[in-house]
Amino acid sequence: MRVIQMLPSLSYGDAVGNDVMALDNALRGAGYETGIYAENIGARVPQGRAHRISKLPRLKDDDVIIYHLSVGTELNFRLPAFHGRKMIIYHNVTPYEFFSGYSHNLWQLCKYGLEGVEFLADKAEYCLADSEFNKQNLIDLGYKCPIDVLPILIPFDDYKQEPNQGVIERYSDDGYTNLLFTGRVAPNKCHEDIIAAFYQYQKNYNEKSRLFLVGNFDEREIYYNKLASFAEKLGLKDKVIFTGHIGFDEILAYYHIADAFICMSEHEGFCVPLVEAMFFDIPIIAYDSSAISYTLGGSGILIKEKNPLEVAGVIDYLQKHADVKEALLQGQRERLKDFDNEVIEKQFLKYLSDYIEGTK
Amino acid sequence: MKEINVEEIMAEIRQDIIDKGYTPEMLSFRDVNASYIGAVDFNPDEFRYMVGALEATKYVPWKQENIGTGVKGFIKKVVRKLVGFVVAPMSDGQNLYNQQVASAFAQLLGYIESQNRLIEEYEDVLKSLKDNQKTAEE
Repeated sequence: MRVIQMLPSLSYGDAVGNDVMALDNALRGAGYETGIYAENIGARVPQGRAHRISKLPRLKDDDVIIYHLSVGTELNFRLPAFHGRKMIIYHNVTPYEFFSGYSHNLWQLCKYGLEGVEFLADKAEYCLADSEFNKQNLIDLGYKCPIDVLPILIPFDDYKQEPNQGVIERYSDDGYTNLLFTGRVAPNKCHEDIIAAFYQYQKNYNEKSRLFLVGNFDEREIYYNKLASFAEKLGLKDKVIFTGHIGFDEILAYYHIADAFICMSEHEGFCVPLVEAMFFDIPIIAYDSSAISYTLGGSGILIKEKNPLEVAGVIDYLQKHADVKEALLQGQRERLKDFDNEVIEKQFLKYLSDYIEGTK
Repeated sequence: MKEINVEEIMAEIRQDIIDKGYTPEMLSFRDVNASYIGAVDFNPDEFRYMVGALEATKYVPWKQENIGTGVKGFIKKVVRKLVGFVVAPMSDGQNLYNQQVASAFAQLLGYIESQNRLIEEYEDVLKSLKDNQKTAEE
């Protein structure tokens, strides 16, 4: 019996790609005959690590396909035609409404993704969801099969690499407070609310501060341009830094110099950057939406209402109350233990064997 | 380990904001336009969608409904009355312009689609000519 993983695109270094690679290691370690099959394989994926779906050998009915569901693709609709049992790992699809007025392409892609998730509702035998939020999302979309929650696997060893010294030297030890958010510049992540909170922080609490918005964007995108305009009109052009696409060592450097991590996102299926902030011991202030509260698991400061002035007040409070900040970090360190790869891998293999044996 | 009571901290922060007289007023993101929209690759689906959106939003009424009640609402109504004779004709002019832009884009969309159909027909003709040529050569 084989257990193969299938997905539309495998990229090296993104959250789903990391999860796929780590699960592949776990499956091999447990003695399964396995493989990764994708329609598109990123150039940075090590040679031979994954194969194109066209090279997939004919599967038997008792073989298992673990399908990673996260984007709009035709493969979602082709999945039932493959032989073998189907298990889905659901990473969530961003609701298309977020892209209305910003990008018709992404609007369409997410809508198509949602249609794919709905289409597979009665085709999956078993699902794993990255968070309770994702599980509920599947139930709301009509999934009746057993669903368990299993956090995404995060490559913590990569975070121990040397950070970029240039970034560190430029932005640290100069008396400035560095605020950080990481994640692609996309409307669901509500960068405008972080900028608004930063404006209030600058105006009322601390002029010697900067905001780093680390994440890819396309300069032609309406959303990014609106954000840049917003920052400029607020007089923050030089204080809000959009890094765009940068190297991994630079991302690490921004985590190293950050004094607080601010997340105002309104839709996250898991939100890996929160766990990254925990790893780098940065106090987290996040808006309570989607999977955020699950990922924080009681740690960090969870904001129930989006009020820029209050968010600014919280940032200031943490900078001035070392004991509260330390207690907050202690809580985050505790939560971080729950994402230990060994624990999650073990849980994954248990879920998988229960599914194979038919006890799910 | 010290327990953190977020609600208590928030209450303390709210009180501090009141005590110091900080105000939440600031520019709204909604009121900002994108500074620069660069040239993008042509996407026929997006173009069709935008032409539809342009058609649906071309008319902007100058008189906003539900502008509020009480003193604020009353003042707004008075101001509206005072400036109406200046704003209304400007708004009509803008709406006429919007109508013309929407019509021009609808024409352009129609032209692109008719050209696409023509290209498809020519491609079919070209293909059959090539097939005929190949058969003749054989």
